[in-house]
Amino acid sequence: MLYSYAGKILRVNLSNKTVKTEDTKKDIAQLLLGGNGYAAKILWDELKPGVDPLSPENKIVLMTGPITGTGAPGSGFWEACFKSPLTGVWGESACGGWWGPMLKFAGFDGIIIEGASKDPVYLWVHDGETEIKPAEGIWGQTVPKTEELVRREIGVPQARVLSIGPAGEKLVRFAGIAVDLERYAGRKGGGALLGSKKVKAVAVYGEKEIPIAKPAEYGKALKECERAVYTSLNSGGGFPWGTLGGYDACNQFGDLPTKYGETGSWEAVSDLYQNFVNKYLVKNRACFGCMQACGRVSEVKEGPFATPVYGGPEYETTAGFTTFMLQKDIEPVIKANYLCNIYGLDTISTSHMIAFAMLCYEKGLITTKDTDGLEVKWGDPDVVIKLVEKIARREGFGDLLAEGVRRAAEKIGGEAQKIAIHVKGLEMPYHDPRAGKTQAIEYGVSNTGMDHFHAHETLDVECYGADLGLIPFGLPDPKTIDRFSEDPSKASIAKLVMDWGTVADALVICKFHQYVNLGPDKYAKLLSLATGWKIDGWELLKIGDRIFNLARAFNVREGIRRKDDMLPPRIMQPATTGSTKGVGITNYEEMLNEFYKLEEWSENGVPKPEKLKRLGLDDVASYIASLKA
Amino acid sequence: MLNAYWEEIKMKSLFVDKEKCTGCRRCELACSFFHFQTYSLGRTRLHVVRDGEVEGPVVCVQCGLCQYACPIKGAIIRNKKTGAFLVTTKCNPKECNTECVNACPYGVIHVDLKLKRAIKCDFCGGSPSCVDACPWNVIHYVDAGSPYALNNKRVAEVRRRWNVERAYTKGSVETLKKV
Repeated sequence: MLYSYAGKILRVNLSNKTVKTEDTKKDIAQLLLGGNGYAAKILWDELKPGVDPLSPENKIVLMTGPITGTGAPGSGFWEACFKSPLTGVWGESACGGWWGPMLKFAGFDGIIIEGASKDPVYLWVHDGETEIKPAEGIWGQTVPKTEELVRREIGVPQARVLSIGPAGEKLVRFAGIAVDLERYAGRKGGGALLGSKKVKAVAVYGEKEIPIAKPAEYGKALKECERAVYTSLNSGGGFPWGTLGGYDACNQFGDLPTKYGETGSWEAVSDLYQNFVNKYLVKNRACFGCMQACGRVSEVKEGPFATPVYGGPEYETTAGFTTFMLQKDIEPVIKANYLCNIYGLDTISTSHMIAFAMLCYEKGLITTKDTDGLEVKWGDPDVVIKLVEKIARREGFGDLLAEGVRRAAEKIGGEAQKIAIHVKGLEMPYHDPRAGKTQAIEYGVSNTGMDHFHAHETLDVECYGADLGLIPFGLPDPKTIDRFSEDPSKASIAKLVMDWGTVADALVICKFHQYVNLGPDKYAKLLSLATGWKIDGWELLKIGDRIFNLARAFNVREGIRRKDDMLPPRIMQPATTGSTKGVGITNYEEMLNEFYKLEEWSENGVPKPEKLKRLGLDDVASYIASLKA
Repeated sequence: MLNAYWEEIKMKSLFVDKEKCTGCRRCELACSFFHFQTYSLGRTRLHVVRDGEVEGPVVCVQCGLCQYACPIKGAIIRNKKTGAFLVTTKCNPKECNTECVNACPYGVIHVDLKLKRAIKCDFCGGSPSCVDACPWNVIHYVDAGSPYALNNKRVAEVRRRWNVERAYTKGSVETLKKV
């Protein structure tokens, strides 16, 4: 018996409208847990190399993990894994809300969606059964309307609905997947992938129990973890300020990319957070089973940027729509965030693309002829709102921006390709690698591209003193780390943090709970008691290493090598203001070499077969061995 | 008359501060774990509901309508110590039309499919686990009839105060637990 798993995985083939259930395999679960690990195994086995991400051959795996829905801190998450339409490589996106646990209560550890439907459909998964229903009349609707219509049609008001907005339907390459109105698996274009398969929504409801191997002891361990969270002072994602609470600190540390990455801080926004809290914040909102409640609910009562009460902007969104495009008010941010949420857009990539357009306009690379007559000047809030709508509908200029920064820069041509900030095609999120140099390594080698959360935001260790519970596992005291140093030894910090970040996506927990006194040992204990296996903290980190290398092997199969791990030049130039003034990234290649050495990758960035074999990935190792370096 | 009853047994009741609820559903998990050693939303005795942007737990107010509606004598009794209405082993949904479920104005009594009888809030015998589990102290176990409900204004005020202080200070966590 597989304790703490639902034990079944759903396979939905939309091409011939068949539904199959498979058993969750114990050997894979023990090797790779669940979430991104289990999904990586499925995608490695089943995807042909070089498949077009938006073709019916691509698959999307929506996975939960072994402790999802068991009340463990941060266990309300779920993972979407796929080959990304935006980057063409490994794509994974984690998301909270109530949907993931509900999928498990409905009796499934995950859903594999393959093939493509001709007509729009939605899935209705309830208590072990699945129906593929036509989504006529729902296709084309915004996210909140979709949820309402789906719930009304299936007649279960407590059902949780995953959906895509009009942006996903129009195949905007960075369209996200929404659950529960405003929670997003936003990045890397999962929404576009579902849109290409014509899946509008996945509604789930169930009342099954999750079997726990040692319930009494588990309950006791859980109480200990709760206490650890309540007594933690370093609430990184944390309550009651939310991610936006770190906005001012980021500004002081030079960690707030400004003017499309030219520098890392901007004085004009120093009172922005306070303004938001005083005027627009309605309340905090938590995902399932969360004690931190970093989610915001906000409202703009009147004026040109009026929005209803809805999920509010978090840190990344706010940074993107303020400093990154030199826009200093919070009201347009809330409005833009609201629009992105109802249309199903990733706020990070959307704001990144708008700022990119502003820079290109300033440099004269595009003119009003290209932009449908819009004067795309820095920080003009009206332009921002108009561009969000254009991108969501792929109208005129928005059609170009909807392709993502790599493709848009190629089309614009010339200098645009040099200034575009992306790695592997994924736009930069809003943490400046100049403020802490391990972040530079993470941006470079992350399997998903320039991503601050897969595997992990390593900057937090250097800048903000979070130890992530890793000190017993070899992390030096964060206070003693010089954040500007580019010593190759930074690679070891990056590796440790990233292994821990990767395994968090396999347990499928929210990474904010790693900041609050919950290290690998605590989660290993919870996992052991829930599953009945014997796992300690070191074993967990090893699983993280295994999954990271499996996803890297997936990327290597898609043609990723060392050249794709390079950082864009614009973010390596010295910053011009604030505490990072004059700080650039100069020693990146050496840090990268050291990271490759630690990971036992070849100089060209290919994992060595011996290492893969040692990790228990024999079939992957034999494929890699057959490659020519 | 009711007041006299409360005074006699010093009954307490669950008071919900809906404004503070974040929708994490830890109360539901704690409830099912306390009673069944399992984590299941289908076996809880209170429910967090979300209607648009408003959410909050719906708890049993121990009004006793279930007892009034129940056709089986002795299936629902009142606990003398806590004042809670309890479902006994005499409950047998095969012999009735689940009148209790229909009678409940809050939808917090239902038939558990494994136990094969109705389940409802029993105050966990005097120290409710949902109260203990709530990270935001949304659910309070207070003297029935006490003027606690008036404190909503104070709650709003305290919340404003954290935001002004906003530093990552030690006191904030304790403040939070006190509210």
